[in-house]
Amino acid sequence: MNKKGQTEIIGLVVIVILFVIIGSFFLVFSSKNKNTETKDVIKTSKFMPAFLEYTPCLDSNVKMEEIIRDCNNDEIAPCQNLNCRDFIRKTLEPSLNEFFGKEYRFSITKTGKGFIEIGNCTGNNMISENYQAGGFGENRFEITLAICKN
Amino acid sequence: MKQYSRKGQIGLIETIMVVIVIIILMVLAVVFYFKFQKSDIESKTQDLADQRADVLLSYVSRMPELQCSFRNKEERCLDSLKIIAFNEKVNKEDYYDVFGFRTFRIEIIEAPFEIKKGDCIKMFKVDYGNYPMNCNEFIIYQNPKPNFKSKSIFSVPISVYYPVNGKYFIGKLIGENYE
Repeated sequence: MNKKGQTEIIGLVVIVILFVIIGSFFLVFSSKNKNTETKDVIKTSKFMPAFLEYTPCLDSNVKMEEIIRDCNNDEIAPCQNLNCRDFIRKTLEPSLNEFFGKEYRFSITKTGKGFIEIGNCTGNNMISENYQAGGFGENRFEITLAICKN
Repeated sequence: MKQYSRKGQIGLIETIMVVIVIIILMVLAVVFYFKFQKSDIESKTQDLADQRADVLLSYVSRMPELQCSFRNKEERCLDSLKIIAFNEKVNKEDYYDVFGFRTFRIEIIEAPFEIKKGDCIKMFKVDYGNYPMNCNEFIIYQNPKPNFKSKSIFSVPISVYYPVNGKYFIGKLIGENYE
């Protein structure tokens, strides 16, 4: 009698365990994270042309693309009486934070050398877009915008 | 004989109970499976709706009715005067087949001077003297679903050109999907 009872208890426990496993599968699959990679790629690829077209000065229509192209070392920006690199950083950061939060890394490279870097990626996963502008030859510069994903 | 009869009855009852429990378990398993499938289908429907919203945002940013052009060459921006004209002249029912129950608007994020919150299309008409400093939003198309339960919002960066002063601002092209 004892053995029969024990066998039945084991059977009951097996059934309960099966229920728990099936329930966990259901919970796991019904709360899957959305994949936002496509959205991030679109946002990144749209941000750079929008930023390069921007005219940041009140009394002239010079575009950011021209300001970056003409900024080499310690020249003064065409407005606000700032060093051109500081001006570019100051203009860029609010827009980058607005669109990408804090998890991004933005860099401008000129003639293969780092020119400006903003942000820091702490995660290993990144969505990165490269963009080239400024014209030809020495004027050409490359922008890289990476969205960090953990 | 009586003992055998009782044993037989007990055995039968046990078998019937086991069959009932197995049937209950199978019914529960089928219910769980269909619930899982339903959840998966709902998630895929939402993903498709999100992708459609992204496609529509790209479409809006390239509409000839709104896009900047210079000497017949398309440029990478939206023309604010075209947006105002589009809003005034176009019947939204003509675009219902394409846009459905959605709202598309632009919010200016970055400008060379401080701008106030306001509807640019309205301000262009009532306070042209202070335009574009007196507004930060263009509503391109607005058609909310009646009694909608929730809405999802999508956005992409966009450049907005102002022919009044030749300047380009940075904006956010926002799409709202009603559910």
